[in-house]
Amino acid sequence: MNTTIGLLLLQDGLTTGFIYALLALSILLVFLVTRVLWVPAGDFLVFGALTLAVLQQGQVPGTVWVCGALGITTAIVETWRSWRTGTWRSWPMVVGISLGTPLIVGGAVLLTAASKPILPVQIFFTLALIVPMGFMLYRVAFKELADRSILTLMFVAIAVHYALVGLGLVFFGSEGFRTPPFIPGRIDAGFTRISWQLMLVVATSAIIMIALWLFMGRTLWGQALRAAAVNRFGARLVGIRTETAGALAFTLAALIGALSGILIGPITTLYYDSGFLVGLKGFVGTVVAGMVSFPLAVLGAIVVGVVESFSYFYASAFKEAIVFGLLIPFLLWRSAVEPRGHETHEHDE
Amino acid sequence: MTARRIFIGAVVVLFALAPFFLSIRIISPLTYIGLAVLVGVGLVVLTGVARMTSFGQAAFCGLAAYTTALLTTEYGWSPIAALPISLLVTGFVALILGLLTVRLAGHYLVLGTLVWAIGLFYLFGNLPGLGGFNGISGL
Repeated sequence: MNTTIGLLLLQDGLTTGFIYALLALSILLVFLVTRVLWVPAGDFLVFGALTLAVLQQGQVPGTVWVCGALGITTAIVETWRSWRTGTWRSWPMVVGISLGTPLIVGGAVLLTAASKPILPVQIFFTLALIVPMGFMLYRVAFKELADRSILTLMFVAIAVHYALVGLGLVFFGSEGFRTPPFIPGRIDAGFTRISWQLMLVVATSAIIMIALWLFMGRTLWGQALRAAAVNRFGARLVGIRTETAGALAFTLAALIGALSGILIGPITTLYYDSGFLVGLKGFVGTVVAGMVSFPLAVLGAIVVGVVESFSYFYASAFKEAIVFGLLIPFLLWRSAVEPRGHETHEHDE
Repeated sequence: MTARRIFIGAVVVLFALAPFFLSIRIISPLTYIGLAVLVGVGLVVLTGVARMTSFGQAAFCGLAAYTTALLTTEYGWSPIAALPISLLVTGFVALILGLLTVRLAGHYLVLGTLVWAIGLFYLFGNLPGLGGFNGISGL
């Protein structure tokens, strides 16, 4: 093991580490705003990657039908709820998004898929199909459960994860997909060769993180999200509706997940069930951060990626066991550091 | 002897006598149901009574199953004799892992048990002599 191999392993570790960092950000965002442990984060990544891969083959991705089924379900559930409670205020927007997205975007994909539009258009279709799914999942599954315990919400999230994996198997099949690299090749940086894909991943991740930071810090919507994360009841007192904050958090998580999937598509072969492990490694990043700090979550996830890359080289069969085994000391440390009654404790940003 | 106890006793006797009367097509799923019920009882004790949610039950099932499988195939023990050894081994590993994780609070406990359950799964799958991901057959 010399410097060359070490630097190459470091590059691979950083590439996957930044993807895990994006997932960790989406998980932490959803957790802070809605207290949902967002297990399906990895499934959104896989859906993004598989959708783009199928679009690049010139076929209609199964995501169109998943989005359609979810849209119809959301519309029915929302109509029933509005009829029961008598409040039709949010019905037009929700039903509009639920039925409009599969109809308009799905229809466009059905019409143009075979003619293989250029890459930016395909990426746009992928995002336009997957991002509303986050919104729809929130309205269907999580809105009514907003005041339940973290454990209940986690069980629902796991159920959603299994449903998404099952749908992925039905609509994508059991074979693996890999997109062709956006910019193939490596450049010579003197002491090592850096692949273009790594720089693309790092640059895009950095842009997403900076955009998220600016959004949370400068815009009104972002500050409303932060307020809802810090203290939900206080946010309601000043006029921030919990369902708006929750829907926004889930939509952002879906966006980040789909973008990560598009980024990781050229790097690894993804299967319909790869999402769980990838999401779990994002979880490791957030747990290392104590589930309160965004920069620490990014750092933790990058460390997970690098550790995984090196342990893949040294003991390739045991890399998962090593990565997950290393989490246990962190969990012990976190539990010792944080006071009991942590669930009702107000988080500081 | 309340009606409830008589009912439970009757159900137990019926299940005990079932293999002599029913065909294998009904017994086979019933066996799997019974196994799942055993795991469920363990989870009820843990989650309901002790208020600790554990996602690691699957790892313990696997541990006991591997112990029995190894003892019966490699060393030629009879399954009945291998049963207490499996229980002891699983209990011992559960004691060690439990001492590590019982200090975790709330949702960290769920994540922690989930994480070492998956870690153990990959460990089992990759240790030589345990048959890899194809398992041990011919029990």
